[in-house]
Amino acid sequence: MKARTRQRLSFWLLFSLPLAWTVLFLILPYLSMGMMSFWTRKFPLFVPDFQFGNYIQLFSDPQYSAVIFRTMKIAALVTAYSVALGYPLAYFLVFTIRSEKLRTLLYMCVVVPLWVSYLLRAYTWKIILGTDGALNSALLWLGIIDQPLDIFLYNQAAMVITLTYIFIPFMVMPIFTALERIPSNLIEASQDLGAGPFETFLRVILPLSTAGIVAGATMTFCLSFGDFVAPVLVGGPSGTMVATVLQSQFGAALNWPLGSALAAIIFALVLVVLQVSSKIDRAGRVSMG
Amino acid sequence: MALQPIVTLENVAKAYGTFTALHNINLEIGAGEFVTLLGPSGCGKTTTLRLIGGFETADSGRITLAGADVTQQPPYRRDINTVFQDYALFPHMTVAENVAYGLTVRANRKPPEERARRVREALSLVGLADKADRMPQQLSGGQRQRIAMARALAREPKVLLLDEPLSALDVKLREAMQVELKHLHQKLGITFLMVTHDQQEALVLSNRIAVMKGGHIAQIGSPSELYDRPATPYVADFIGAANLVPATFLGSEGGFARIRLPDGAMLSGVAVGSGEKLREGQAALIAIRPERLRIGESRHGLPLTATVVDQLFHGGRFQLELRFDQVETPVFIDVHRSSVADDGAVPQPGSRVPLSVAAPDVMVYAAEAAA
Ligand SMILES: Nc1ncnc2c1ncn2[C@@H]1O[C@H](COP(=O)(O)OP(=O)(O)OP(=O)(O)O)[C@@H](O)[C@H]1O
Ligand SMILES: [Mg+2]
Repeated sequence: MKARTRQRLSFWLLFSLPLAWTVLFLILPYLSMGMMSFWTRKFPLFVPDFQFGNYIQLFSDPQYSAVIFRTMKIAALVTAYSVALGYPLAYFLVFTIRSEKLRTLLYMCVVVPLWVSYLLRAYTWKIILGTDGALNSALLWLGIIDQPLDIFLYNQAAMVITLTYIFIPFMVMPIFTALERIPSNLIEASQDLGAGPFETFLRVILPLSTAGIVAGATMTFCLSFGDFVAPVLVGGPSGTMVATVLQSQFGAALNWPLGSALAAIIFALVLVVLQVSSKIDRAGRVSMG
Repeated sequence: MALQPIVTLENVAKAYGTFTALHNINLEIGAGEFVTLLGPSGCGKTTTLRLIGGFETADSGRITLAGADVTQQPPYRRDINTVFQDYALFPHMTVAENVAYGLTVRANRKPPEERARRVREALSLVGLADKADRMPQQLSGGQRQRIAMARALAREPKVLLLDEPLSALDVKLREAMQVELKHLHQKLGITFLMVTHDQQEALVLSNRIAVMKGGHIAQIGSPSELYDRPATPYVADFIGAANLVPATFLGSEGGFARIRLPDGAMLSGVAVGSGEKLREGQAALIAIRPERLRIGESRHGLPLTATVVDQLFHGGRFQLELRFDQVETPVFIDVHRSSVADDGAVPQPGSRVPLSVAAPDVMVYAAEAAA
């Protein structure tokens, strides 16, 4: 009995702090967000209430759904480009580079940008794509154009480029790990059984790395979906994303209840994405061994 | 060799960086043979097998398969299949899909009926027809091993390479699988080339054994050749047990030699290990199989005397550790309990015992050959 009490005490001592942290900084904010999404705004005050006006407004005003769909489209494009660029890079690192040292070095080159300020990396693209930016200077110097062009910046393409650049490490890392975990004798077995390199890729390497792709895609999608810096820096008016709208509801527009409702919708969307990806992941996951 | 060679290695060398794993290997394997590569860890067995399978490229030399030069061919263009040491079954495919893999590749796509038939045949060959729909992870080690065999055999290759196929199995299962492997080989008539570091396994299974040492083939021959006429003390020690005792070479006539043991005993008419050029008075090494040494005097045998150091009980037999006078290295012999009246009759530690050995059973080598 005594031992049990002591056990229980040490359990609470050990877990009370992380538990308190979670409740205070995760659960409570979500709860208050959820609650506030039903409040009404009586300028300049928010009045506690229980009504669906905020949600109705979000779903009926095409302005909001347009932003949400645009955000999804951009996030999907960023994810697609990240896979298209990240997979070959990870493949190259794992299977083409023979030297362990060089591989680690190149892998670090992929990861190290994550330590550089996110803002700085987004800003870099503003400098590259701007009217007096590196791209325009290069084109001028090459004589391809004789006037700086302003078509590169402040559009969706600029955002997709910037976000892909920023989030691609999150794609490369899990794919790299997945590829590295494929035992080399499986690849040899495939060749031994008569499959050439491409067939081996399609039938052995790709299926055994889907878990990495799914993990990377989930991360890049969710991260770019919620991004609010790139739209401001390189997005321009046509590149408004949902997080920008959200931010303005809590800022300039001063409509916290509407912002909370929007946040709740985003939260639900992200949960759906996570659910779907874990479904795919579980279906494709196989234990190596 | 009477058989038509199916695999040949001519002066094949392979280095990893500055380390030479194989020095000019020459090997000829006849169609239908069961050849084993035997040797201690790191001697280059796997490297040899990987060169034949096409997973490594030789630095120099030539490898032929059924008369065709395959030295530069990738694995998927060689009519050879491998049973990998840790099986290498595809974890995302069922057993049947694994076995069918080699029949569905673009270069060798079989019609569905033939594929199904061959998968069925291969699985029943290894006795696992009922496991077709399992995933590899749901099988035991021994079952995975058989699936790996079935997958390779479904392609009906000319040569099957096996890299320590049984090493991950426990002793009981390993012995059962050895028998199965031998039966499979006899039944299919495919050439088997197997790597092992278990000399017992090599002796039981092979038509011929190639004993390797440090990237060379020390000796190749039938199990009984290797056992009865080892070319070097190394081979004598590696295949079966051998008592190695230093001696002095006194001279020879007609292939038989006279030697002197450190304790002064003179032995004449002993066999000279093949290919040895010994000078008179040169330091030599003799090798005697434990079962060739007998306790007691015999009219035909050479007489020796030794002191018992220890007596080790092995169940059905005793192993005696003996020392010749002036000799550091111990000599072991077996005394079977059925051959003595009672356990008390087995010589006790400290006692001196007379021994005898038939002269041809003593093999003489140059001492430096042992190194
Ligand atoms: N990829 C490699 N890079 C560098 N050295 C290697 C490589 N593969 C093998 N070696 C070296 O070559 C030598 C022979 O290796 P190999 O694998 O053929 O030995 P083995 O006879 O199969 O040994 P084991 O019984 O331990 O499997 C070893 O000394 C090993 O360290
Ligand atoms: Mg090996």
